[in-house]
Amino acid sequence: MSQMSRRQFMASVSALSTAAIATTASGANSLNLRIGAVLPLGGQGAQITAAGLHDVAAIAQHGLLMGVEETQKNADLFGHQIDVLIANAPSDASVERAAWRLVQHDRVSVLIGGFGPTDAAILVRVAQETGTLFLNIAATADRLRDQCLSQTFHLEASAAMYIDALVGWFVRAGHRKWFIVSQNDDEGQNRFSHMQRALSDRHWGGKVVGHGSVEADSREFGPILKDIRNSSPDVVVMLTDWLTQLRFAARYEAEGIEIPITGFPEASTQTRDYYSRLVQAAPRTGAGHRASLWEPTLDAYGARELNARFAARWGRPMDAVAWSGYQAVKIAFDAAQFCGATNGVALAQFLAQSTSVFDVHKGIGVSFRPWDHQLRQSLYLVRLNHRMQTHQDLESLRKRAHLVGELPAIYMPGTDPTERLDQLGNLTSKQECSR
Amino acid sequence: MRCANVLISMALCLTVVGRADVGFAESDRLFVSNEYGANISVIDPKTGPIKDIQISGRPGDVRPRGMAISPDGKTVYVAVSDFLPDAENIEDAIVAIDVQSGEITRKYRAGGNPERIAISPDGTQIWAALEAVALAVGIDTETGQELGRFATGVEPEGIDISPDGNFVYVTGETSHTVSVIDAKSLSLVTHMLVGNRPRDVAFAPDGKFAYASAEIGGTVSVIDVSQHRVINTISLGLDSRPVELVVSGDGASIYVAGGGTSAIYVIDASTQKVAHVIKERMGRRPWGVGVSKDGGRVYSANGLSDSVSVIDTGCMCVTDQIKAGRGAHSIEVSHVE
Repeated sequence: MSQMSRRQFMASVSALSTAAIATTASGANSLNLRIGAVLPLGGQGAQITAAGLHDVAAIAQHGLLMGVEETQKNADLFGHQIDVLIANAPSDASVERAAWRLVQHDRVSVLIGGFGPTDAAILVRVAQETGTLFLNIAATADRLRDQCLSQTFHLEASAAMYIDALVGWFVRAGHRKWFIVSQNDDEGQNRFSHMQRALSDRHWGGKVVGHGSVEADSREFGPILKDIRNSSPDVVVMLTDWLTQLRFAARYEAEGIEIPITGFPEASTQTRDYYSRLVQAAPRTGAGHRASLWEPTLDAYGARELNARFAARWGRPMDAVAWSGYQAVKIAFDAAQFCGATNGVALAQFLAQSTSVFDVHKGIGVSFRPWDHQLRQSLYLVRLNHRMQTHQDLESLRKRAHLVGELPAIYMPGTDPTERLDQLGNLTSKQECSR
Repeated sequence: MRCANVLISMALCLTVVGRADVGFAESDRLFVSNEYGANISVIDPKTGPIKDIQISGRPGDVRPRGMAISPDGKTVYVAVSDFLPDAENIEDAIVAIDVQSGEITRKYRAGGNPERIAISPDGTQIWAALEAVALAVGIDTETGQELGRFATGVEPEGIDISPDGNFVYVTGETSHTVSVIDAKSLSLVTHMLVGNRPRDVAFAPDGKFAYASAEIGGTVSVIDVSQHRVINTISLGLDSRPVELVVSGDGASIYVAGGGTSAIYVIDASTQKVAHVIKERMGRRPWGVGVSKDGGRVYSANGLSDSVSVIDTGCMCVTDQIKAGRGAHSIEVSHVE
């Protein structure tokens, strides 16, 4: 989709906001919810390295726009109004400027964004200082959750949740010996540490038999590949950024190694386009199993209808970050509607309540954990199609992967939903976010 | 009107298979829509399955879901759609089936994935929730003409008509609403916030109250129909995931299918509290629920076990399981003399 200017975007949103029908519910107070989304869509300042996120930001924009369109239909029933302003902020400095402008000038009470630990940290800080609600839709870093600040809530799954899900699936599938490739930075170390804990503390029988560390943007993988051959693991996991995963997989394939490989599912890797790139780079080993926040082939719990509406709207499957963008708008409006207020502090207080349960088309009521404001939710295991086509028609895009698993399996009766969903992620610091 | 059982005075061809006759002073006839089998199971609970009525030759593509029985008991209406909610296809229709012959006698164009339907007490109007287009539509049963289309929340599903035929209630799954339509003046009255993701709504026989189930909220909202206002919310538990609900003919009990716990929740209408939770021997993931005319039996359509559970309301216990088709979705109960 071609990028639109902020003015063009606002015009389109206004056109969507049709006048409320004459017969709205009597006695309802009209709400005007103003949301600001900070997306690294591109332009000057955009980086073309592993942090280059304009593709995934454009996908998130699709989700946000559809979220506005559908939520406004629901808002119209009661005469409420939703305005979403999208700021293009491709660098950390522009994220800071955009966030302040949206809050102070445009008077938004909700910020949506977060595509990496740095820009998300900026939005966390601005939200906290201004009493704005921040909904993180794509940043996985656990340290963002560990801060436990009152105004920040995370729709994106945490790194710990993704790693727990990966370990759960692969150990159950018989993979006992693990070789881990992580990035040589704080986030890489955090992911690796959590994977070690997940294997040693949670899943009997799995162990790390080797570990390699790479620099960001690295192309040199020879020593690690040699270690992988020598350690004979059952599975190799790349906990790196998306670009390193892609480069590593290509080299791995070229070396003729056939051990199953998977990667850390940061938002950039959970797209049909990324799946295609991965399989082109490594036709055999790239077409394995990956974890995902959402899957366009999910067809239960109302997901079929949501996926179909998105596909009809945009001609593309609903990638994970589109889902989180859509749900961020929906959750923000649901919170405003049910608590009867639109200011950021009231919205955050509502989201923090254990009784505040939301429908995110995953078939179970979800809530935010009180100790880190992480959304409890199930994750999905997808298998990439090694015969996938590069065609851009909807059906070809959809067939690039398909759903093979869900964790926790929420359709099984008999367990409290909160307990079931708390099988994933960090559970140790059970305190409330009051700062 | 969901709570009414109707009289079927014709004899269907029965195949007796030796099922226990205890507790069946009268004969019920069950109609179960099978979402993945593209057919309707016709069941005599005393003897078992009678026959299947095929809706389409494309099981897996075409999905019958919500149903309603005409007041004279001669016709079963079925909401039929496909698995492609983004496009209106020829399969998106309301199908009328002659109960006696099992033949499809008429198709009403609905469009937009009709999910659940209701028929007016005088049989002249069909109302359908159009899931894909956020609308409810009224249709004249005689002429097939549309009476009107009315805005609902996104993903409308549950629908019912008040016993006096005055009001249509429609749930909106993503808007958490019940929309109220005046069925006589054909105008939109109001919208009410209910629980999170409301799936179904049913009026009490006296029309004073209506009840709306909320799947994600795990609740049943009690609505004062005279004011179109929620006056109480009954919690079934977050894990309950309630879908269909039905009110007994005497109005004393509300039976709710708990898909999340494979249970039937029984609400005492006078106290508005859960009186029983029936789990033992239940089929898996009950979505549909119906009650016999005399109130002695409750039936659930179980989507993951392709079965109907028979519940004796005397002991509030499951007494039998009957095979249905693939993906049993909804159930309607009629009465045979």
